[in-house]
Amino acid sequence: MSGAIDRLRAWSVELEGSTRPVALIRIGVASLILVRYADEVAMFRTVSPIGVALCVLFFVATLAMLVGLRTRAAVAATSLVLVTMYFVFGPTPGVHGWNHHHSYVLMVSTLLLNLMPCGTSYSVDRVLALRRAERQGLLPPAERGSLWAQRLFALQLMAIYFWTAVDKSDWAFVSGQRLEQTMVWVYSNRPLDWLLTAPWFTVPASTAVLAVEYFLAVGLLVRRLQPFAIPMGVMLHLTFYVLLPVTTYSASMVLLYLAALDPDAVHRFIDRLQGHHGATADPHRL
Amino acid sequence: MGRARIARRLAFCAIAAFVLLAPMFPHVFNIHGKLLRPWMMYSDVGVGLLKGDFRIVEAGSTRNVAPLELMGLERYPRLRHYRFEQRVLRDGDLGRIAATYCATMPAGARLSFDGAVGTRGGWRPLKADDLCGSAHVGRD
Repeated sequence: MSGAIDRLRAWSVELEGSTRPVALIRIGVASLILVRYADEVAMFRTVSPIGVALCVLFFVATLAMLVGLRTRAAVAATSLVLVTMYFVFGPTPGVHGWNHHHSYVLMVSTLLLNLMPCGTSYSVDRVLALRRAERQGLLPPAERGSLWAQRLFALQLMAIYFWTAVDKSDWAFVSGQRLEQTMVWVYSNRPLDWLLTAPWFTVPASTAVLAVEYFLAVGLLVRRLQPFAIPMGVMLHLTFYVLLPVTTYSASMVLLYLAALDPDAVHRFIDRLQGHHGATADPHRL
Repeated sequence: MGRARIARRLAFCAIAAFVLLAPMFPHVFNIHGKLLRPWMMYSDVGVGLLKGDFRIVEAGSTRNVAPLELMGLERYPRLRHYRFEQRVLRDGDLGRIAATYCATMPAGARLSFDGAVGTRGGWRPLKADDLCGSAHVGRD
């Protein structure tokens, strides 16, 4: 029993390791925020002084978060912007999608990044830290840190898959009717109308989606199941991305899979990708 | 154990509990709030859409018209919120949707609908006779 609790602690609150995965999540989330909102908050859209302030803060904070310049402050400022957009502007008439689930995923991801050293790798902050170390004749700062909050991303994924599967666990969904309704809306009078609204597509597709979502709720968190869960999850979200207007949702979810992996394994994989092997490995070189 | 460590553990447990259990309120207890987000992707998309055909009987001839054609739409609008006026959510909506089309029909022509309407519980049968006159709408 105590062994299981120790393993759980090591997996969650005591997790330490490479900061590369959270840095990649930071870069990915910042990119998705820009993709999702930049066009809607850009200066040419503004009609009020509040809009101008939102535009300036949005671009300064998100771009600084993207490149990792004063990362902590940048992530905090981006969080403030996204929380305001979600809770204040999201429910106002004429603003569409700012309080949808894909916006929530971006907001929560940014909020969680405040709890992690996501500027220690792949950032302007790291370049500056390396220069400082070089000037002082010190070793390069390690790309390691306390990642106690990283698994909260994984739990967020688990919650999304589980509760969305609960919502689909009824006859209306399993029988393909709800998917057919969605496809009627999206595909009526489009070339694949006949295929995507047919029961022989909607019934197996609905059942498969439900089964995969329940499996992902557990499979992404269990290391032995990850080799099956991750490709299945990627395929599921690719299918959503191609068939339905999901905006940044699919890409955000797949990006957050990084948080369920062993951070040191991700670090070693990147080393191998860049040609650093065994004795030649130099994880601190830029 | 240091204070920082205790604070981290408490914070982790609190956030994890919120992330995992907060959706239970809207999903299980039907309690909604700004912080209690349900995970219901695409759950309302298609609610209020019609499946079936409108039938027009005039001067001894009969022809069918698809719902989109009757609404004068080529496709359903590409909206982020998936809400638009021509959905059938309550009694009277079908007649309201048909009203514009009725104005173009010759006197004496009858417009009826036989099909189903999309709901959260799936397709529900929907029939209506003489939509341009005193419509009788029947739902099962």
